[in-house]
Amino acid sequence: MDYVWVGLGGIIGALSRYYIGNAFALWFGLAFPYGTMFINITGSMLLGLIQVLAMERFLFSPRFRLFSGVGFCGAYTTFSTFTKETLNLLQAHPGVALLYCSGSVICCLLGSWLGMVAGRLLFARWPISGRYLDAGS
Amino acid sequence: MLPLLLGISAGGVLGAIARYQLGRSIMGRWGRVFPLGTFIINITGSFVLCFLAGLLAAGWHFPSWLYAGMTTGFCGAYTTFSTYAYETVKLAEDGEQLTTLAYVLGSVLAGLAAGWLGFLAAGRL
Repeated sequence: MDYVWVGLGGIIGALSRYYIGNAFALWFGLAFPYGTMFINITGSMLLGLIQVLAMERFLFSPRFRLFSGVGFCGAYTTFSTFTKETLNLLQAHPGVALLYCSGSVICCLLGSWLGMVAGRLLFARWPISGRYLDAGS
Repeated sequence: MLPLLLGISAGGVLGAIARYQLGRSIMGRWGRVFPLGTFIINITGSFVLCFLAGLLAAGWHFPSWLYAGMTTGFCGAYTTFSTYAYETVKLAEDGEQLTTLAYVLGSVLAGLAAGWLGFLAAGRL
């Protein structure tokens, strides 16, 4: 049954990445991979928030975490495209490649951390005995 | 347009489920200190994506729904940046400074090396 929720989130995540990536390529061109960078940063923020609400505040069912965290955020963000784009940039513009590579990592770590902090602050007063305390992870 | 979206959807389902299952298996066996599951997933996925891109560059032909399904769909959904970022922040919060650094830099460097090998391998076929 887990596979259904992960797979469903996976479809929505992959299609969102495709459409958002296309839109960014259309608006900003292909010289710099703005699309993947935007996708990875927003997905990292969202996963940080989801993980805190699910694993620390127990507000989400394990099923919803599989759908939104493992399925959607996991499939929406991508490491393989990030690698490919870095290698492509490395051939012609090593400086830009370094900027893209380090910029993605730093912004995504910051994004994930901000998502986690936001979750902890916004739900600080939430009773820790959330609905799904007994449901495991 | 529809075949393309179906290809990406099918690849997305397979990639996400493969990541979930492989991640669980690896972490169940070895994953106490180091997030080995995501590490292996991101590196193998980088190899496969660059291998496929290399084949295309070398003049191989794929129907566009199949290529998009394998790359944007499968490789994109199989690998993940959000879990990589989350695991890194968690390691840092737990005070595992060396592991954090090894994971954050190791993933990027090993991923780039794997991708480069993928490009090379495709050129030799």
